[in-house]
Parts: sequence; C-alpha cells; structure tokens
Amino acid sequence: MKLMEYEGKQLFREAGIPVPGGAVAQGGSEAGKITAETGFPAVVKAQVLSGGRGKRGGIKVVNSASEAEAMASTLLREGLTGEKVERVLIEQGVNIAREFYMAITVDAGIGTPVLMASAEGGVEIESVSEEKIAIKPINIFIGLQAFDVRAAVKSWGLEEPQVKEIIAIAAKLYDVYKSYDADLVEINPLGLTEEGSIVALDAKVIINDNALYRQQQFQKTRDRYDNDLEYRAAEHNLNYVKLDGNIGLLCTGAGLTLATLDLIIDNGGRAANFMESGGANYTNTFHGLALVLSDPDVRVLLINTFGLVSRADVICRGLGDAIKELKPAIPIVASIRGTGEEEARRIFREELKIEPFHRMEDAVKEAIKLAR
Amino acid sequence: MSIILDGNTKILVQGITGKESSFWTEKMLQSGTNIAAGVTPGKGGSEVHGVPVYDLVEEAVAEGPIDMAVLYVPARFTRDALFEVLAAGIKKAVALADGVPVYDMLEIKELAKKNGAMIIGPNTPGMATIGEAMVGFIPVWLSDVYRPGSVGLITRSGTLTNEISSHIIEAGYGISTLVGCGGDSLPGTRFTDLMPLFAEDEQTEALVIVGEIGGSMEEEVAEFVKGTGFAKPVVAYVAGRTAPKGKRMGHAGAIISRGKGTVEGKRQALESAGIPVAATPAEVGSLLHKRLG
Repeated sequence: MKLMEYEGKQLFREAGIPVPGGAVAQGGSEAGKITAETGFPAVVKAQVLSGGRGKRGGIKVVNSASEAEAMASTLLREGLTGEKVERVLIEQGVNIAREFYMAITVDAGIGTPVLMASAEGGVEIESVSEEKIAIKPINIFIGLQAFDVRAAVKSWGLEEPQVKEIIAIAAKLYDVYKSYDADLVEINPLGLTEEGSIVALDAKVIINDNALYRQQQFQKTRDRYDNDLEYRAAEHNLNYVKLDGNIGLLCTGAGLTLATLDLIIDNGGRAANFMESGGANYTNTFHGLALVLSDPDVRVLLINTFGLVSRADVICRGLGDAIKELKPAIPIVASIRGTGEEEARRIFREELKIEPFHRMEDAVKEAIKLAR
Repeated sequence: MSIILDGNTKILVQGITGKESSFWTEKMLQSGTNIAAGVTPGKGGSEVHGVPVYDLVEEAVAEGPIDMAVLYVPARFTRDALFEVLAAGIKKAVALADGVPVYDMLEIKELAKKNGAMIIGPNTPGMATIGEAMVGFIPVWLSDVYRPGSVGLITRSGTLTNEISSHIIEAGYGISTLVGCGGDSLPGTRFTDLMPLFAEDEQTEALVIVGEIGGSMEEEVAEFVKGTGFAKPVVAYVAGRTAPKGKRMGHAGAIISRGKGTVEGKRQALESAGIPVAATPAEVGSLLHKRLG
C-alpha cells in the first residue's frame, strides 16, 4: 500500500526525521489559513499517488494566503492531469543548496534490506547511473550500522556535523522501515539547506501488503485506488485490475491469469479485467463474479481454472451457486481442469448446462468469438 | 535420481490437522510421500491418516530423523513455524502460505542461511518428484498433467505450473522434479539456487523455467547459463507480456516497476543465453521437441 506524501511525512515527523513545517488541507480556505503558520514563501503540493507531480503542475511556490487558497482550490477542483486530488499539503518554503537521495528497501537478489544513497537527488532514481548510487546491505538481526551510512555518503563532501545528522536520519528511517513493515521508505530529495541543516523534502512510503493485518492504522480508503471497481475488490481482498476490453475474466492463480491475458490479446481479443480470486475461498468466488459482472464493458465471461490448492470442485461449487443467484445475461465460456475436475465439470454440465472446454486456448478463442 | 525430494525423504507436516492439510496429507501419502510425523500445537497424541501428531517439532524429531518439513500453516504463523523447524535442526522446508510479510521472510532467510537450510516458498504449490513423492498442493495423480520423466520444472506460480506441465506431457515427455519457488517478491529459494542441483541430476535431461513479470529470477537464469555453461537444454515461458505497468498482478512479485521486470527484458536476457522463450504455454512442448528431438 502506497502512502501519500503527507502520511509518509507524518511517520517521519513522529520518528524524529526533520521535515518542513506544514499541514494538509481539503479545501481552499483551509489551505490559506495554514500559511499563517508556515509563513512565506510556502509550497502547495497536490497529494496523489503517482510520481512526477512537479512536471505536471502539482507543486507550486506561493507568496500569499490568497495565492495558496487559489492554487489549492484549483488542484482540488480540477485534479492533476486526470487524477483526482482530495488533499493538498501546505509547507514552509525551504532554501535548498543541495539535493540528495536516501532510501531503504529490499534487494531480493541479496535477500536483505539495503540502504541506498546518492548525491544526485531530486530526480527519479532510475535516471541516476548505478555507480553513483551507494548500496549497503543490512543484516536484519543486527540493523543499520553508522559506519555503513558514513561510507555511503563519504563522497558527498559534507562537513562532519552534517554527516552526523545524516547518520541519525538514516537510523530513524530504518526505524520507520522496520516499525511499519515497509517495502520502501524513500527521501527524495533529502535537502541540505542554505543554512546548513538537513531536511526531508518528500516522503515515499510503501507498506508491505502482506503485513497490513498487523499495520491496521493504514486503512484501505477509496483514494488509494484508481477506480471504484478496484476499491470494491480490495474490500473483499481480491486483486482486481480494470483493463480496457470486453472479456470478463475469472481465473484462479496469478500466473494462469497472466497467461490467459496474453493468449486473449495474441488471438485478437481484449480482457476487461485482471482478477485473481486466490485460495479455496468460496465466498470470494461470489464477490469476484459479482465484481466482474458489474463492469458494463463485459460482454462475455471467461472462466479458467486448473485446480491446485484452489480446488476446481470448490471453486466451481462457489461459481455454480453464484451464477444461479446472479443470473448473468451474457454468455459464459469455461475451461476447467485440475484438482477435483470431475465434480467441477459435473457442476457446469449438469447444473449450469455449460459444456466446459478442456484446453484453455479453445476457451479463449470461443470467448473472443462471442465478444465480437 | 531426483533433486531435494524422493520417496525416502522423511517428511514432517506442520499444521497437519487442518481441513485442507488433512485432505492433502492423504493425497501426499497416496503419491508415495514418506510422511513420518505431523505437528499441530495442542493436538499431540492424535493421528491423521495414520500419521502420528505431536505438539512440538522437537518431539517429532526425537522419535526419528526428519529430512524436510512442509508447512500447511497460515501466513501470519509461518515465521514462527519455520523458526521451530530450523531450531529442531531440519535442513529443508517448504512454506506454502500466501501472504507472508516481507519482513518475516527477511528474518527467515537470514536464519536459514546461518543454519545452512533451504526454504522453498512461500506462496508456492510446493514441489514433487513425480512418481516418488509430493509435498504441497500438486495434483500429481492426474496422468494427463503429471508423469515421471526427464524434464525438470521450476516455476513461480501454481495453476500455470499445471498448465505448462500438461503441455510437456502432451508433447510426450515426463517430469523429473518440479519445484515451485512461489509468487512472492522475496522467495526463500531462487531459480538459480536450484540449477546446480538440476545440472547434477542424472534423471533430468532438460529444464523448463516458468517465469512471469516482475523481479529478476529469469534474468539470473540467463546469467547463470552464460557463466557456468549449464549443459542441459533450457526452455522458458514467461507470463504477463500484456500486463499494464505499475500494477500488482495477483502475485506480490508480479509487478513491472521502474521499467524493469518486463517480459520483453526477460525474453531478451534468456534468448541471449540461448534459451528459447515460448509464446504460449502450448509452445513449450514444441520447443522441447526442437531441443531434445
């Protein structure tokens, strides 16, 4: 779960990482009032989950309360290049001398968390050449060591007090990483001010989805999802991604679903969604089917299962009951194999009067034909 | 011959008394798996399909040696269960649960490294040496999907593993050992950890890699083949060519981010190492024909 900048900065502030003074606003006049605290210049920043806000006009320096109010109102009313803006962050302007990069994330290849640091901050880290990024593996049982941070920032050419400050910030950043089960904590840019202090100018925090059960302060709110369907899916713990086609997809297993998507496109069709209703979860089958059918673009339903842990008989029992209750008005094509396949096929053949295919390629081709 | 698991491997089933695990324990026994013991805290002294159940792993180990543990344990208890397995001196474990926090996996990996243990998974269907033994959720009894043979199979997914294997069987081959490394971003065992074992295995004549978008395990296979001259034919399939960028596609590890992890990038890396990449699951069979005749 990706957090908004203001949420990440709140975690930073609580951990003792210096961030510019400021507050979040949901209305224009509220934004104007906050500038009484921040003074001028202040910065108005759109709170959205996508990157590259600055280039799209989502970050603006303002010099009066009315300017802040106008900027905030425009962003909240019009959004940012098609993306809805529900909040703006109003912050104290800071005189920046230099911009660095610092992050902690997992390096799957090494199998440990790593500290990443670069003297070239303020740009997308992907655009920085690899030799300019210091990477220090962290032993999960020992934690981040001060000497590793010192070595990582050695080339930045800072005065000793600033090096000490950065070592302290890195330790606190690691605390945030650990305490909140983060996949990524990133400060980009980490600013050196004209006055010589170090401050986190942005905050990117991604919480590990698998750990959300023990990080319940982060709620699945609507503003974290691109559309209503994806939000409703998340409420039922379904991983649903809206796509632009007309074949509604209900598959088991992420790998098989991806392979089905590829086959659909290779054969000239378009899927309306990606969805994985993983596990032997009977109730999820109902919600999953209801979700796929609620998309008005869907003209044919394609069911593909090759039962494993999610047994074909259990999934098809759930699907059979869901189809009887929801009575979809569109054609249904199915390919059914794997654990419990005999009972699963019986349910489709006898109870639903649908003859399932044996090969998924045949089912995909039939679905494409019916969707035309 | 086989790798990691065969009919003599003594297995401990953690969480054996659950409804799903009881179902699969019976399937494992029917597949020839040598299940020596089960563990469910609080259920010690009972039996599941004739397998004695203990409260603690150390009690099971005291009754006789255990080579491998398989965990039918929910994600949130997987770390503790694996720590118990490692503390009891067991050197191989298969963690099946989907949804283990990455932080837990970081601790598990570090401790496994210290103990010289191999952890397969999590978020995996398990593994099987066809005709000898299976641990996990793999329907090895379906003869149009799994048959003993000479093709090693390593994958990141579950149901797609069935699909690919069915095409290998349809092409007239069989499977030696299949290992599901799992769909998570931080698997305990990576593709390249298994390749030296397949290189040495006399039964395995060719290897099929089933990858998907995200991560770098497929690229690592390409580097491994280039670096070691892995002598057996390798064929790959990589799912998710048409997936949108930046979206998590079901598996925690299946996301294209920062322009990395694309199928195109993986295809180029694999082909540069002489590994053909099938365009569809069915094409895996014909590519094997080309490589093996």
